[in-house]
Amino acid sequence: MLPFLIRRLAGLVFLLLILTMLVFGLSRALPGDVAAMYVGLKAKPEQIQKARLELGLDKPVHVQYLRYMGRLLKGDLGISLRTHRPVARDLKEKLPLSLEIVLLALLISIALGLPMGVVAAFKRDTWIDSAVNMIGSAAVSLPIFFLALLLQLVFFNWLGWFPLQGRISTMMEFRDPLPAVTRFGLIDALLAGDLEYMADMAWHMFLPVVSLASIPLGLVARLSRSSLLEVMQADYIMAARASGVGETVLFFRYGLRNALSPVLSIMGLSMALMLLNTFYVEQIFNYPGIGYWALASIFSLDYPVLVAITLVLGAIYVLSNTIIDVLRRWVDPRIK
Amino acid sequence: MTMKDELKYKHLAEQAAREHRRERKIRTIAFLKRKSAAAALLVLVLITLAAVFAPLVAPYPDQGKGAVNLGERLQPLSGKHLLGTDTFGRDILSRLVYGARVSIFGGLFIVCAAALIGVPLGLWAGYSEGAPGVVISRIGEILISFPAVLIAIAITTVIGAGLTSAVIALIIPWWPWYARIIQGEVLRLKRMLFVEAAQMLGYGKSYILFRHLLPNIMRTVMVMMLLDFGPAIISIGLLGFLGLGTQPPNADWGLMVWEGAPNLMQQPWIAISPGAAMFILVMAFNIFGDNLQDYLDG
Amino acid sequence: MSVKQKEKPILEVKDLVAEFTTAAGRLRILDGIDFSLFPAEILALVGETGCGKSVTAKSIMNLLAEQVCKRRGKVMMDGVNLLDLSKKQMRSYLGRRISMIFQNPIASINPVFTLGEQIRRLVRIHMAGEITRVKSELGCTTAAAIDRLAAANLEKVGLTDVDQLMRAYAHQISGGMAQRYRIATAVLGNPDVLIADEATSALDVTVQAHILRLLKRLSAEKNTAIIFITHDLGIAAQLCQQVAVMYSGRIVEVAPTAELFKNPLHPYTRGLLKAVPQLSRKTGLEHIPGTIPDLRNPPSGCRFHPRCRQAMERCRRLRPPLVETKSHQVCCHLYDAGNKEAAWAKS
Repeated sequence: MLPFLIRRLAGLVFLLLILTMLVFGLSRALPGDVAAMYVGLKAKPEQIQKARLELGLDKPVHVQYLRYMGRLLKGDLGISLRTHRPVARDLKEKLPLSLEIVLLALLISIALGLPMGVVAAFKRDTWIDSAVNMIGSAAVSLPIFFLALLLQLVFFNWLGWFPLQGRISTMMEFRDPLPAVTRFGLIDALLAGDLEYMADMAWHMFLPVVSLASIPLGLVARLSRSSLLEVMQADYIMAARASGVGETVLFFRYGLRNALSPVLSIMGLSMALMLLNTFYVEQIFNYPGIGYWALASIFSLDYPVLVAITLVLGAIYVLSNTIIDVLRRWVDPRIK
Repeated sequence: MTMKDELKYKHLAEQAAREHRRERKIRTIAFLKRKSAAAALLVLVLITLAAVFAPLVAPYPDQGKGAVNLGERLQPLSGKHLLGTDTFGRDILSRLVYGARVSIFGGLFIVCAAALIGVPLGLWAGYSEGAPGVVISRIGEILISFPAVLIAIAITTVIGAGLTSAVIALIIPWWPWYARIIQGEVLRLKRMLFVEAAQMLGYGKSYILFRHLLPNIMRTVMVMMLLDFGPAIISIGLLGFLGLGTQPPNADWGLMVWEGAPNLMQQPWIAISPGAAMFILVMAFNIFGDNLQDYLDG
Repeated sequence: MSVKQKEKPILEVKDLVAEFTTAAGRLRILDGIDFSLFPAEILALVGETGCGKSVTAKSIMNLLAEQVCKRRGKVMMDGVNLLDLSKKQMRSYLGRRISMIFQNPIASINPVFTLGEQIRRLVRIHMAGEITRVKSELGCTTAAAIDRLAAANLEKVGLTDVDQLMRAYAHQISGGMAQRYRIATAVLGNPDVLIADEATSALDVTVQAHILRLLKRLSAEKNTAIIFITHDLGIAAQLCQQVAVMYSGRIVEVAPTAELFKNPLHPYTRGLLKAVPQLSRKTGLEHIPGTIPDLRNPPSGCRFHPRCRQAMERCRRLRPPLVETKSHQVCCHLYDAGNKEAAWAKS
């Protein structure tokens, strides 16, 4: 296990290095005066020149890169060109917000998707099977921004069940901020005993989470169904049946365990997918997470933020894949 | 073998080939009889025809292309405008028809280009193990983790926003998926005996690649491409939504949704129509692709 | 017929028919199988690939999906027709009265659980009485009793290092060990009948010999009858007391082993024996001309008649009846007593 983890860590570092180089190089190679952007539209040439020296933009690109990496290792991610705030601070605030809805969405997609797929396989070729297949296909075919807008239209405008946007109601904002323990809003509110706050946040998070969960739900439901059906054709299932093992045990214990491996893989993929989808969902729901921030930074070519976000996304991607691989190893001892 | 035996075996072989063809015909007919496959195929054909013959199908072709009609802004569904009008008074149905062109042909281009790049690279990487395989693998891994949005922005700032930059931006992280899967398939098939046999008989590398490996992989590639159209269309829509695809006043489904978002509550049809169109088209592709997969497996 | 004629057969198959519904139509894979199996007897079921041997085994054990395969006929075991039982009722027979081992032993073991976990489950299902006995004898817990019984069963089939083996996974053991393991799991319920479907075809020749010896020993010790399905006449000769030859969904000849080899009656059996290479023979290998019938359009009458050198007019029209001579059971018009042509055609 240990050498495997070390290899993974090395791979992660390598990937991050390449990513940072690419993003850094890309944003520096593009037309657009960074210093001018930093100082603003109405700046005088001397101010721009001063900013250029300050930001170290007069040095060659590779020197800039090395200086950046040096600062990075000390935890200094630079200053945002757009907001003039330290990137690291913004990151610390916004990342947990997005992770919260992404993880919730992942949880829901498994909690609903896996049973759906299993039941569909157990009752194959019945109406349940067709229904699950239809739902799964539909979930995967819905463009996420369309779903988000649709949910807003139906659940806010027509039914009035959920709020339009944001993370907490404006009234709540006047309260004292929560003690930041985990920075996961729901958990912090629970720990502080402030259930009203927690309920309000959950109420706001509901529609964004549903939007994010749709695609993974469809993927998990369809994949677990087909994987399970394939597994049930295996020799060892027939052999166990011939030895007198009962149908339910055969399906839910013998079969299911073997079918989980591809489902776990797709969950790893879904993680990356959902992180990218937060760009759209947070925009539409005005949710102050990392996706919202990323989109604004992309359009303003705010390269310190861009590099930081790329690093974070890349790291999360590899970490979640590593966790998935560990889980797969635990489920299926054949994987080395 | 005597002359008589030769003729007899030839006759048996022909008989077998005939029966195989007959079996395929039976299966194709059964496949087309399935309601979902037929319905999906119908939808696909209709939308494609509408896209190709847009000037003839759209009730107001100029508005479809972008001409404004400020006198009739924000009209709800009516006899004159079947799907209403948008903030510029343009007929939404016409815009949908013209937008279909972007989605379908853009999607087609992306998938074909990604396959054309990815499949040969995957074949090569898989067959010649060692350095080329690893290099392509690594490059692929990195490209896959790159958000297409970022690449799109980069290309946009260089060559300007538009469908071209969106398509290029999507192809770049798209082809590694094909390369990886093909690489895996080649590695798997390589271990099979018929390749070893061919090698032992002295056939060259490229001959084996094209004559033996490619046909086996073709089937996989075809299904992959078909099932890939849906995601491609959605991706074009996603970029269009951000304004990184076709530029206004041209019609693009993603762009139309974004244009309709501010008026979502009062005039929902502006945003809902293009979104629903995307959903229906992608759903049709997925259903057809699923059925095709069953047919090929069965 | 059999030497043990006085005993009652433990399994009697009469006119077993199996029809498959496929995209190509209804295929009659089994066209009336007849044979009897006596206690502790080892019967070989021999035939080419595609003649329906596996389907026979799976039909007897109801392992085929009902929507795909319809069975008719009689499979009598202790006065009960197994074909009349529902899948749930059949389950009480599987592993306890009748059991099966398969061709690919490693693929027959669940790869994600340890060998120990799997055999313990079967001990729990089939050896309830034994568990109580061991518990009272040794005064231990149920789990410990199950462990002991599992280990004992594994040792009985000749496996060593049982404790380590129980912690291993399917992909970590050899084919021979896997098949021994599978045999252990199949016989721990003390079944009356064990079906071995090409059980040694995927193993090395030396390992094959061991497994055959093991089966012979178990059959004698536990009084278990074995149906040994194979395409290898040599193995049939080594292991079995009776041989049943199968062709395209019918059992064309049944006889004691020595008798069959010495005096094959059915033309197909004769063809098979002539096709086996023998060092003593000076002439070349003879083969049976033609190929096995396409079941979408099977031959009329006797399914073998297109390839039979001794085919008569009625072979094309009528399905051959089951004829019993003093030593053989054969399905051929040549031996039909009521067939006047047979008298001079017999050679």
